[in-house]
Amino acid sequence: MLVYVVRRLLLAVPLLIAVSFLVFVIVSSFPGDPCREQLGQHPTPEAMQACRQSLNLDGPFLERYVRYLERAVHLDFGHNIRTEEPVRDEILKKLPATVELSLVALLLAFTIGTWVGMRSAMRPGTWIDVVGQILTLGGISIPVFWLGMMLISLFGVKLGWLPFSGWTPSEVGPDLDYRTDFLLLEPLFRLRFDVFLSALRHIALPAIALCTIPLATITRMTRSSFLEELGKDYVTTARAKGLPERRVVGRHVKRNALIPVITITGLQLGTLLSGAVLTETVFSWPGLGTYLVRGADETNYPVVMGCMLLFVTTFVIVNLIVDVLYHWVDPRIRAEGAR
Amino acid sequence: MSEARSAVWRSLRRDRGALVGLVLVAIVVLMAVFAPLAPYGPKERDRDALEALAPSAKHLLGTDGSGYDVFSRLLYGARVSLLTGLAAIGLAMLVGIPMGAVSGFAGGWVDWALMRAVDVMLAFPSVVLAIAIAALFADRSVTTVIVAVGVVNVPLVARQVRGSVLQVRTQEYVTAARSLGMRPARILFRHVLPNCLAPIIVLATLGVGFAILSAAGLNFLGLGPEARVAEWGVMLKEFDRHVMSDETWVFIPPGVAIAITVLGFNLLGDGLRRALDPRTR
Repeated sequence: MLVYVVRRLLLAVPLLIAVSFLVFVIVSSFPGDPCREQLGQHPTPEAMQACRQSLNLDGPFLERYVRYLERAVHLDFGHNIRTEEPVRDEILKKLPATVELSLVALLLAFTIGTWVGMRSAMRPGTWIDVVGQILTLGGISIPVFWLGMMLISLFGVKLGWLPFSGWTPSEVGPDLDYRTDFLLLEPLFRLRFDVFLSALRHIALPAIALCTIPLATITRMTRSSFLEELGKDYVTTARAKGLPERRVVGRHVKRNALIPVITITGLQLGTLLSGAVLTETVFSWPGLGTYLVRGADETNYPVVMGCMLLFVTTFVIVNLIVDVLYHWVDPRIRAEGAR
Repeated sequence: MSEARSAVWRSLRRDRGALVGLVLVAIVVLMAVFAPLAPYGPKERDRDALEALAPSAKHLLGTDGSGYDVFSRLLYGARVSLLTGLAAIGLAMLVGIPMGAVSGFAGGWVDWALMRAVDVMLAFPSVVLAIAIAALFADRSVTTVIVAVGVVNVPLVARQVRGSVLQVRTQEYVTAARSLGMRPARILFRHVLPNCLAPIIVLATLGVGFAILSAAGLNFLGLGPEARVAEWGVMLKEFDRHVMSDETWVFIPPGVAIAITVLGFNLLGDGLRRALDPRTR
């Protein structure tokens, strides 16, 4: 087991280095000269030189790449060209909003998806199976940003049930002096349930919109996994010895069938982050998605670089954790790996 | 060949999902073809419309805040969406098929190197990579989005093609061709790739749907063509201006159009998969 974990970790390092190189190549090829934009058309040579040095635009390509890697390892992504704030600080400020939105969406998708998927596998062809198919097809066909618009228009504007903007401390909990940027989790840990409820209401619409993407995959995966498991011999045995269906599924099938579903849920993070970029833009969510889009639109390359590196690293690490967990949960795979 | 084709067609015709998909795709194609019959041009503004006008006889689906006719732009948008989806997947195939074929057929270090390149690209969330590629263009246009979405799809195509090639190359007729002394390139193009066609067709069909969805997203984010271009994602950028005054006719139709198109290609692709691969039936 330990050998496996170490081997996977060692494999992740060259992948991350290659990924960082691709990010560097893309970002270095952005059009325009950021220093010229910053300093105007006729800068002094000294100012130009200082600017190029601080933005790591000075010197041969490989030298710049090494310097960039060195800085990135220390989480130094340079300064935002527009605001001149360190990109790291800006990212840390915006990260919690994206993390909370993604977690709530993933939780929603997992709860609904496994429930619907399990039911539709147990009763194929009934109404719940139809619901499952609608979720599956809808999730991959309906643009998540448009779904967000529909939710805003219906539940936010027309019915006025839920807020659809204002993920800020003053809107979510005006009487709570927030110490972190975790607007949802902090009130929970400080046992301020009134503020927590308010945060839940604020996060509801974007989370519902975003959850449809992983929901499609999770529902489909759960259904096929349960169907496969239900056809196995031990299920026939369990039924033959007179176990009620509820116990057959709850005790025996569930444990085996949910393993691939959990893996798939973890691997949904990539599509989830992609969806988060779009969802955040619709809801003006102050997270990394809106930050990245604005950065790309302004060709603000320290911003794009920082966001991309963060997204990819998270993605790679989560994949790694999912893989390791998968090995740990399922003894059959562990045995195969040991051989 | 024609016998096999008619077998595929027969099984498609019996497949309700595939038929619905075919109808939906046909609707979008007809919209694109007959767009010039629309009452207004794609960039034609109604100067009398100082604000968004509700649907009426004059404007079937109303106008947006700039005086554009929503119905006409919806029809022209079908052209841009289909073009973007097809071109992006075409680009992905153009690069991905040779990449995957060489990788699977050559094996060894070539395979290793190409697949590591695929791994690196797949390590990015797709929209994030597409955004970064779109930012490379100084003047953003429809082409920007085609390239961004196309590049993001290359690793998926390459991996699929490689898998199929690996399967086919162990077949006896490939061994036979090799023992007859046929050149590897000839074996690849004459015997291996034609037998990998089925999964490639399925992947392409599903891919067009996915590409149209991603492209609409990029356009909505403002990384595509300017606001005057009649494209569904671009039309949805106006959402903020219209939601508070409940001018739903501006932002409901483009989303429905995207969903119908993507759903159509997904259903059709799934149906093709069932028709072309007898094992899943």
